[in-house]
Amino acid sequence: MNKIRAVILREYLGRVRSRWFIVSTVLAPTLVIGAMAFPILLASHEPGAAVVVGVLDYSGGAVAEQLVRTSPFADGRMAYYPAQAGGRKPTIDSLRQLVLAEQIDGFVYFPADVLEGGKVEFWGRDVGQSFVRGTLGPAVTSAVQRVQARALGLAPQQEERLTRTVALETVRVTKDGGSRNQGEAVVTANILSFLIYLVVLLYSAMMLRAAVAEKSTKTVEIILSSIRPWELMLGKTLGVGAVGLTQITAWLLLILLALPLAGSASALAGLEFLRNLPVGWDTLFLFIGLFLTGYFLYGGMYASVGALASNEQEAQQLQFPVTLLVVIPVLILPIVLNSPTGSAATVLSWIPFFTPVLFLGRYVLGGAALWEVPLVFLAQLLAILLIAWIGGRIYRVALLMTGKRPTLPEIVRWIKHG
Amino acid sequence: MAGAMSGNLAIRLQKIHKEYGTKVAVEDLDHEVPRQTICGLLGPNGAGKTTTIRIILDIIGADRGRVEVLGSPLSDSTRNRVGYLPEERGLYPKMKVLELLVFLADLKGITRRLAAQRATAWLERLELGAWADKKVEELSRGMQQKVQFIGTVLHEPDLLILDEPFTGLDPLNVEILREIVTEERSRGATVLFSTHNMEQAERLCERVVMIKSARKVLDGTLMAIKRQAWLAGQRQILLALEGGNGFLEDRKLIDHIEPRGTHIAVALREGVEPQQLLEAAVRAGVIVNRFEVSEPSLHEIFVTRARE
Repeated sequence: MNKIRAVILREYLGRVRSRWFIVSTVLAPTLVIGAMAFPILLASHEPGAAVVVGVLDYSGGAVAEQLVRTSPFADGRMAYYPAQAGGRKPTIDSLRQLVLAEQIDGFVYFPADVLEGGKVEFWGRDVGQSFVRGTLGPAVTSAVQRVQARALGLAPQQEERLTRTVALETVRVTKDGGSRNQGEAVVTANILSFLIYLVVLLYSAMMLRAAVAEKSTKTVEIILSSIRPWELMLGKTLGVGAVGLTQITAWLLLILLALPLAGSASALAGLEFLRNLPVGWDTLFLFIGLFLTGYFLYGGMYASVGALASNEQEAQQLQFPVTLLVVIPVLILPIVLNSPTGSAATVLSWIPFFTPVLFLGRYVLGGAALWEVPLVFLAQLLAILLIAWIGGRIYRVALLMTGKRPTLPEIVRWIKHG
Repeated sequence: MAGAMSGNLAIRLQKIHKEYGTKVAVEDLDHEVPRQTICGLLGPNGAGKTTTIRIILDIIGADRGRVEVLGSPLSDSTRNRVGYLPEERGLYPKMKVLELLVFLADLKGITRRLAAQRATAWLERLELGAWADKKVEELSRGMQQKVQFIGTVLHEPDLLILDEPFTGLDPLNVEILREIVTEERSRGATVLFSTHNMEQAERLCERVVMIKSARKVLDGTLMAIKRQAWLAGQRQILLALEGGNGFLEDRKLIDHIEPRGTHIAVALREGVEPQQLLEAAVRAGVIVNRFEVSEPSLHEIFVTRARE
């Protein structure tokens, strides 16, 4: 046991003290949050000063005046070009020229029959769909409704009540009631599934190099005179796994520390959205549990492959089949997230090699029953034992082999006969 | 009774046998190495030396046969009392020298603190003190070899196994290694080393075992082996002559000659007495400045046995 501890210590300290570890611990969350916050920051600027919209109204001007006064355009970013204002008449063509001259980003065109059901058009240059659907559309609808309401002779308060935007929330039916925030849950499921794929791949692939280290540095015989191959392999796996746990913990702490800043600093606007994600402790524990099982599973496979190589270059060439297996669940993730309770999603998420990524996604979406959790972990454990058994046999024989790369029948013979 | 006997043995091999496919690497080898001796394991390339060593250390398993190390089959605790310097040796290049040595001793069950103390002392002694916190890859090849020696003896093993230890060493490191080996022997350790270097074997070994084509062909103390060879007529005569040495071409007397710097080493044919060579020299009328009947060198014995 002490010998295994010595190997764990060497693998762990060697990695944790490296420059790579420190840099990636700080940099990774910064980059990830930055990558999340950037589009959000951009999006929050979209209807801002950058977008100036003209309004062309052939229906008399009431709708246009209403639109210009309502939020979010009350700050004057919307310019009304009254159709009947004396002198030159603005036309679709003249506003089109303004767009082309980049004086405005686009314009809304109200036809003369807008109150009788005519179609409103938006002419724009490079303006995102989310702006048109999410911001402009509701504002236009509300402006038309208000004008209609006024025509019916309603008081301003009545008008207000009639035209308010109704919020619609999705609630998924569960046995003990309903699960809210389903839209955010989909986002969370995507993020977490992808994150667990990243960290599992990151650390299990380290086992590839770790397994070939003794061979490539020619230390293998010295080490094997002190320790048995399975002890060496176990120590390495635990050591690298501990590095993974340390780094994930550090990342979580960094994010938790940064969360309180979310409200205050606008640069951290992305975090505001992180804080609203429905991630409970149960999800967090599941994430860490599945990270560990996924790491042992894939790490064992990478180690077996690494053991077959004599140096790192060779190991890189041999890793392909394993990496393919790691990537598959990410490719089929959309199927699972679209219908987390479906039988396809359920069966796929039970396949041990896919479980870490797919089951986590199903769980976050509420698609996995609680009784599935212990079963899935049992399956993970069995798969890990199988991989460890096969890997241990390959490792023991392959450690002393150098030069000639073993053939597949040879490997099968090692596994059979040890 | 076997237990009592094997108590005095550092290594006891009983009928160990190993085959790779159809090739026999070690064939039913029996061998014993008494404690506190330096034993040379000789043999041509491919004779089975490294396989034998790996079987002793349980790095590979024998197909059959029994191995006892320091009085019992190899266990974790006996493993901790063995130091091994393999032929193919390396160090983790990214580790710091002191940390690496502490790790190696840690694997042998030495506490990290004690290991650090001993390693520091060893590094000072071999003039590597300033390199303790440097990465291995920053060291020269010669320095790395010294670090390897330290790693082999840091845990003060009772049995040292060295596979071709002198290969690739510069003369200074050969000297240092020889010093370490004799010191370890005086400390009470048993040393088994394989080598091609007969000169080193002759200088260091008390006992010699030679294997050839997977089998043992020679075993005993160096003295006994030399006496045996002498009795078998394997002796050489060192001659220094003035005048022609044409008489040395007499194939009836002489097997082969080997001119050396100041003299000629002559190997007689079987059954020929040194006296007869001296007579031939006198008859040839040359002046004999040196006529020395010498025991055969280990090199001679090795070559003769290897050619048989």
